[in-house]
Amino acid sequence: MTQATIDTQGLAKSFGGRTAVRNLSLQGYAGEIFGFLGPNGAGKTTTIRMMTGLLKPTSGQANVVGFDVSKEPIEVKRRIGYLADPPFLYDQLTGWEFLEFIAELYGVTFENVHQRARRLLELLELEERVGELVEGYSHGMRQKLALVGTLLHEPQVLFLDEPTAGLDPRSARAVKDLLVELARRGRTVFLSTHILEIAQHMCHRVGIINEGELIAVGSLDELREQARSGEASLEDLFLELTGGADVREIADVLESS
Amino acid sequence: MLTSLLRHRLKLWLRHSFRNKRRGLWQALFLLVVGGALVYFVFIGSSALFGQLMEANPLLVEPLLSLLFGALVLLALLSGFSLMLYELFLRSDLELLLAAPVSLRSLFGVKFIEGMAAVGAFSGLLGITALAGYAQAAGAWVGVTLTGVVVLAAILVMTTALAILAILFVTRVMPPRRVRGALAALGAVVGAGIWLGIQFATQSADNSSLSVTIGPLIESWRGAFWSPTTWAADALTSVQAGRWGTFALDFGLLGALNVGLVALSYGAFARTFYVGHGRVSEVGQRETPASDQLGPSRLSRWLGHLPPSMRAVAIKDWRTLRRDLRMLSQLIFPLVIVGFFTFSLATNDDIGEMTGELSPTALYWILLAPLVMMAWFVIGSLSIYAFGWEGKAFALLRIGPLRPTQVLVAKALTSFIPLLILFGALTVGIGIWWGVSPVQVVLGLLAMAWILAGMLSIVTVTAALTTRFDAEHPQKSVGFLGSLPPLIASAAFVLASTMVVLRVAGVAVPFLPDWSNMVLGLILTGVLVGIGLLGRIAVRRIEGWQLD
Repeated sequence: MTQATIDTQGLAKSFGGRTAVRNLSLQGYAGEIFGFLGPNGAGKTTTIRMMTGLLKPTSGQANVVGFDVSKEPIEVKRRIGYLADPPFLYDQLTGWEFLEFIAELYGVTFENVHQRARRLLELLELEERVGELVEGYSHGMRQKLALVGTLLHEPQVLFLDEPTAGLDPRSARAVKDLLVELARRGRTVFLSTHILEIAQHMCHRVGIINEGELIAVGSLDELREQARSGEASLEDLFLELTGGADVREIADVLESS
Repeated sequence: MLTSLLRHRLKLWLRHSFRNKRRGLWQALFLLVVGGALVYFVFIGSSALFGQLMEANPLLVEPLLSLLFGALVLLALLSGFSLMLYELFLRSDLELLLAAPVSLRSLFGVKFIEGMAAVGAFSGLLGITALAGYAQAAGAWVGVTLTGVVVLAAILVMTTALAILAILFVTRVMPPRRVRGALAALGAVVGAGIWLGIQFATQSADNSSLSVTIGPLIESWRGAFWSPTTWAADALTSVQAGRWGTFALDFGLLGALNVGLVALSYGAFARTFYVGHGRVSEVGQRETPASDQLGPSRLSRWLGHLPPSMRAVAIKDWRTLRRDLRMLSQLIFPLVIVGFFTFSLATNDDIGEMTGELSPTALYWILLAPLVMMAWFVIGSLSIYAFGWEGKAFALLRIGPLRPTQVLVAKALTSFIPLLILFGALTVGIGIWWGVSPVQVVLGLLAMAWILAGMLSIVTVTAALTTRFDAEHPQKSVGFLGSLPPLIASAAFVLASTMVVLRVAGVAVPFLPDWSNMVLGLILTGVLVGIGLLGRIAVRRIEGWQLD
């Protein structure tokens, strides 16, 4: 894990008078699963969108796979995959047609990625429904199809916003195993999630963002060391760092209501 | 509960309407001008028509009023079906309401009132204006106008209840999402049929007297004593004449019918609402053809020379369009209009005399005019939504490795390829059938390609600049700026291009303005420079497009 495939320096984004992300600097490496955590509205999705070229940063710089996202967005986009939450799909296409569209959009011949698509669909148990219009898909099925689309062109860096949202336990497990395998093969997986259990068990390193600021970054052990919390779980660390309510406060709220 | 729900809906509507103050101001101004003009012309027309009729044949006044109410019912029903379908089954907050402890009666009440407000917004305005025209022509006292408003409200209640009943019935046999497309197609066919009927009726009649023209139609309407529209008309004339007994009878009948229909629609709603609701997520099941599983589709192979990313956009757009009946049904009306005018020209003796002295080459070029007109209508009906089809999924094109110029070109090609194939083949076919020289056929083909390319460039760059990507449906993604100005610019481009081409071909065609070469050059240069400038701005918009 020596080559930084994601490198942001002083990245910031303001919407009108509100600052969503401020002075964010972090690195992601080839072969690494990086967990990006934070409370709701902390700036996770905004950060990912800046890294993928969907949002222009107010200031700062993001380099992905060696290219400046602002200056060479096309080169970056060729090499990355982004799964949004909720995923973007065309309701009036069938699953196959959507995958064909994505393959061609990335300049990949569908014939070449066809077997890959089949395997991924089988893994996620979607092959039976792939001939149906996306309009009739459930939330989980949409998520699975979008994930297959994201992986189709074999991107070097994956940006995944809540990849297991809406998935049944078996599919969620399959996705987790898949991401671990992709990282083992040298891909970078940048994962935004609220499920701390996933981050704790899958991610090599995590970054915690709160109110637009990156307040901690490192492996679980490094975070424990930073917080001087011995054997604390990621959940405890997260709540401590982001100022979550403690048990007493919660009990008080429930009693008073 | 009902009042509380309605209050929230009103608040939401107000917030949505005035969300963007700048756009809200333009919209308000536009609505005021267009709405004001519409009200003015309907009032003047109605007043003149009733005035003429009162002098020519006063006995026809009441049937005409009944006909007016009938037309309003038809208009309200045409829009009411799709509005009620949306209100009853497709609104995004339906699940929220159903999950909350809201009684079925309150739910019905909200849906009924909202549906009626939506249905009545346009037809109600037209009705009040037309009735005001009648009141003025009749020199009626204020009570007649007030009665007209009440009667109109009763008509709208009746129409809303009928629309609810129809939708509840149809959604028992067809999933609501499919009904939406079918209704759009049906509405377009019925609308086009009515327009065509009126055109043929007025064409064959003596245009010097409107009352004479529509006399037979009014006569045929007379005598429908069982019709609520007759009761409504009779109630109005009874107030005017002071026949209070008749008025009470008509009004009572209307009231009883309304109460009955509302009760019936509520009964049907209570019994069958969940049947339709259970099928909301049902859509067409499509078996995967073997070709999809084995490799690239035929379309993809056929467009093999295009860059893959542009090919992907074009094929995706064609596939989504052919499954969107709502969009496709927009083609019906323009095609009927072009067909009618072509037929009228072909059967018009005056035109025949004028063109009789023309050379076959000139006639060939005249025959191409309806094709260009049809292309203009098709582009105005579909291509202006080139970016609206994307909706929020436009993010996929932004995430993908496509340059903004490639997106623009891909969108223009999506329309250009099929239109060139269709209209190019027709141009060549007409040329061969007409027996003009191959040089003229090639010139015709080049002219068609040039005209299509120009129109599509104008429309595509404007669409890139004006489309609202967060609109609920493509039809709502394009506003006034995205539709009328590019179509006017396209028409100017077509006219100037046609004249230039005809001069190059050495063909003199009557009916065209006698513009000098300089004027033509200025128009074409202006349009091309405009496309270039707008294209640059459009590229910047796509480049800077951000997901909210």
